[in-house]
Amino acid sequence: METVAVYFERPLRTYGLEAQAGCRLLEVSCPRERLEDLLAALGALQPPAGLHFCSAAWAGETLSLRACLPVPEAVRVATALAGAGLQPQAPVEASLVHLQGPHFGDRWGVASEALAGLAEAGVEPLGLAGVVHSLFLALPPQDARAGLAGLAKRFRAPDKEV
Amino acid sequence: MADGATASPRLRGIKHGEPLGVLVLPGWPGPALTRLTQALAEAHINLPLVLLHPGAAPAASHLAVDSGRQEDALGLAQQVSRELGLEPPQLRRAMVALTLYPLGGSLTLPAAVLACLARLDIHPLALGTSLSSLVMVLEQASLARARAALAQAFGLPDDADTAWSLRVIQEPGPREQD
Repeated sequence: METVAVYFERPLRTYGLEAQAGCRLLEVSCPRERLEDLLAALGALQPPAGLHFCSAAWAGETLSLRACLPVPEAVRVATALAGAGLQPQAPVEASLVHLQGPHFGDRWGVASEALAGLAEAGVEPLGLAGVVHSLFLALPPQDARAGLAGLAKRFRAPDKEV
Repeated sequence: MADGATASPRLRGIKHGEPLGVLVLPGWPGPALTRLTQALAEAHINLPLVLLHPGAAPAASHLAVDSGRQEDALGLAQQVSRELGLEPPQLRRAMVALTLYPLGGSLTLPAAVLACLARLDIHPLALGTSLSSLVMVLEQASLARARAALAQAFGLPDDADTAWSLRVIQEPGPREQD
């Protein structure tokens, strides 16, 4: 059975319109034949490394894995990967904005609103992941305040509706 | 067990949606991605999965679109590419999104899933995580094999796999009674 929800919403409502400082973007390239080593290195971390979000894509025979983590977790992951002979690229400091809405991924215009709001504020994100109900924006830390101001023109959190 | 060396993550559910096309945008800079998403929004094209890495190449930015609008989306991307002198977009047709949950809040599940599928020579075009789930896009032709392998590896119950049952339609403007 299919459920169809039809509605219009501007500005977009979201849970949370805050920047989380102290994050780090890690990227590691892993040849296909080293994938088991990558898994072993990550799986051996106890407790498992906490994650904000990640993305991955194959380019030919090489997997590119990107992850946004709290700095202490990023350090643990980078150390584990290096120990397995998988050297991450130089990490990038970031502030994270995590917007949550109902089924962001099914609606046109959500990513556009976020990118337009940031562009109007003169901010270019380091990365964006729009997955199901989550929209993650990794911002340069020095641009987080301006980025939030730009996003606030396009998104509205419940505590801002009073 | 998904993997002999580590404790296997456990999954409770797996779902797949309708056929998708995926735009691959190698090396596109931020302003170009902003411009394209704006054009897609103006055309009311949904983006079930968005993974943007401005300037990154060869692992590019990916935009998933409903297959019924994929040619429209490709046309818009080609237009932006021409106007800005960017590497042409690629459209991967006959793709499908597979959603696994719960994520478990760590990198363990994404790595385990990728390794599990790689053993079958299945390489998802792109993968991303939400707060609570993992979504990947892969070729429709690989869906059945991927689902079976993941179910076995992660102990999914037999009835865990269902087609996506929620469709959200956003109207272009408020209704009169609103």
